[in-house]
Amino acid sequence: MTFNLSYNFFYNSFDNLLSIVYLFIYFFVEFLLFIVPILIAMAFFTLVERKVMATMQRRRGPNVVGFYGLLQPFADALKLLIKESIIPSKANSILFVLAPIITLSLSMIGWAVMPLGEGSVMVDANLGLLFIFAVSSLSVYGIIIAGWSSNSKYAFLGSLRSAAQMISYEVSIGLILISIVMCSGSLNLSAIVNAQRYVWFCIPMLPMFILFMVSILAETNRPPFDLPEAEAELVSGYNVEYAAVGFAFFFIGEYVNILLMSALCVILFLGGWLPLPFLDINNLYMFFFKVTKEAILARKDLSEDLFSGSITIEEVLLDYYPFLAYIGFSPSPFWFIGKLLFVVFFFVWVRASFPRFRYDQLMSLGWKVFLPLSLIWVIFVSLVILFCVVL
Amino acid sequence: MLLLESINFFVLLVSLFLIFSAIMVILAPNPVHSVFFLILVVLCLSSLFLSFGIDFLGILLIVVYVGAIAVLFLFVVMMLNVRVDQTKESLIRYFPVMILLVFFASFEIYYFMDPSSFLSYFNLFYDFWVISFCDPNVFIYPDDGFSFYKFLRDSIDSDLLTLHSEQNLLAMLASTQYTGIFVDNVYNPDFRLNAVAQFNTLSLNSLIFHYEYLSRGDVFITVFNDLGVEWWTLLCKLYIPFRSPLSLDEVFDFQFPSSGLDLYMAGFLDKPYLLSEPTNIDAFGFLIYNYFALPFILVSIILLIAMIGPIVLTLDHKKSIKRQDIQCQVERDFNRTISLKI
Repeated sequence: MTFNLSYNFFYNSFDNLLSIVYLFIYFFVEFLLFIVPILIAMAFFTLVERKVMATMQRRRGPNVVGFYGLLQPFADALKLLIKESIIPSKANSILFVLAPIITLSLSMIGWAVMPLGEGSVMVDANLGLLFIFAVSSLSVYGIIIAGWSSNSKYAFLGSLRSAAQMISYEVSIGLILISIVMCSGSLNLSAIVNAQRYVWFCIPMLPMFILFMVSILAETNRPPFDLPEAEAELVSGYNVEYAAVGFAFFFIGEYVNILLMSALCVILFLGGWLPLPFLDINNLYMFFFKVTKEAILARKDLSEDLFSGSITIEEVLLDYYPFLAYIGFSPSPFWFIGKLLFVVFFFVWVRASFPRFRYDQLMSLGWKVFLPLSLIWVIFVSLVILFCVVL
Repeated sequence: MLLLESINFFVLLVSLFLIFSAIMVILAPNPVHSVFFLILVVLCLSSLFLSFGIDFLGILLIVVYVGAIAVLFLFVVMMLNVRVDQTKESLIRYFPVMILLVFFASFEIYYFMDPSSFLSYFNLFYDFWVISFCDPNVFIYPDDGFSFYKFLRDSIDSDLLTLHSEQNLLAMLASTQYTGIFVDNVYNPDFRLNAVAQFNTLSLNSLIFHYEYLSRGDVFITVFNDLGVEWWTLLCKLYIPFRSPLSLDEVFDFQFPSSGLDLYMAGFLDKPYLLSEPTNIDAFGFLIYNYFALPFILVSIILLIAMIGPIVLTLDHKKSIKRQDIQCQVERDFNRTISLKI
């Protein structure tokens, strides 16, 4: 179910304001179609977290509200929506209301450049990775503004700590992104996934994969790096003064951010929408439709280089069975979702397994361990590319 | 495809909001609000950059200025305990400084709007100015009897150029920009041909300066290469040895990747279109790593000093404070942690 949304149709018709309105409506509907499933995924992610943690702790988790607790997230959302919104008296009300809005919006904006399948991306930006980096740099502000505008000491301290933690781990994330870009040659996320066609980046860049997984835990303030929002130590940090809808927005924003970072991890290291070679459904097609080797060789453009002239099974099949163009099926989004679930499970697994880092331990880890390691890896990768790879 | 090519309503609106935010940076009573307005300024600027097609710099502005520098500002300003009434001081005191800054800023803006005619603003002194600005010992070439003045005289009535009055010759020369170079004292508009000749003989001859002394005074003629770099960038000429001299094949074969211009030149296309233009990052990399390599390294050294300097200045390892040594803790042998002293 690959889909390719193209809006070039509208660009030739900017005659009047109405066509621009049509464009906006089209974009709005496209965005909704993309984002609503993500929000539903986020809702069930909260349930997944609670159930999986419960299972790891040998208990049940929420199982009262729906069948096996499936309606729990909606119950939580309803509870939060019907609560009274409180704005503290001396708080700066504009900024107080703006902070959760910023957090939520930025989490959702990052999804615009994520490719879920080949061609299944809203904005195929050549600077997609830099865009995501900019979005994560901006999401620090939601927290700083929240803490400061709450006019409360615990909130303020929690927000400053959280912001300092986020910017510290962003540095090592940036360096890891640089080494990925050097291997793939482009900042375009679809190009990065394409560069992993023969081997996923988690295999040659395994240390950076581990570092990235840990850094995104710290970036999203997840356990074990969640001291700034811990209930016991800091009375839940920057969102202590937020009551109903504000807290809901922070909650949703945090989980959508977790999904975003997990998706980024999948795209950068785990091959995005690429299948494992031995589980590739293209091979299954070959078996069922009895495509012979000669048919493939007839289309294959054999040249000196081993890696050029590759052809997908779909092109060969379309020669012999043209009707497949109308019922085109490619399970690449399912691969993406499967890998995303693995990374999300890792997030929850880590939460259930490890105690919390103390703040100075956390910061010294970020600056004294992760930063040198990622910097050394950047230099190592550049040396390898310079001396061992024919560009 | 939605790139702007001229000022329109969107640009006007964003620019006005930018100016408003910049004014509010000064006028906001609360310093934290000032920093937020500064962030708004950078965001507006970034949106303008993006709409004009400067994508890399636009997003980099957000990452660097908003994501790092403004966070730094915010941390400092939030920790300071500034009373709001303390910030109400008179701004009239800063008026002279403002005039000076406006002068220099407009100076810079006029220079970057039209670098070639910039010198014509200094009509009274520019000939003297120009020679003193550059070091002629570095760039001068021997004069073998060719006279540019004579060449211009001969070409005045031809279609190469027309002059209305000879007295304006000096002003005209200073205000125009030539894209030709002189090789063996013969004017040749085809730069590539001469560039090849130059690259083969002397590796440092990427640009040529030709001083010609006219009877009415000294005129400084700059000759631009196809990158449009100016004389001051020749300071980086010393660093062209970072790359080896180009051969004939390399000069003509160099292309930014996947450009459709060669197909047009070869006649396969009826009109030129670029399959893909060199991206902003391509262009940056081309300049920074080839022509401006040493300035880049120098700037990174300055940045390194700026990062490490404060740490060195403020680091104070007191011996009396107990610290955690994780390696020591992890290596501790359980069997030897407790012992009885009898």
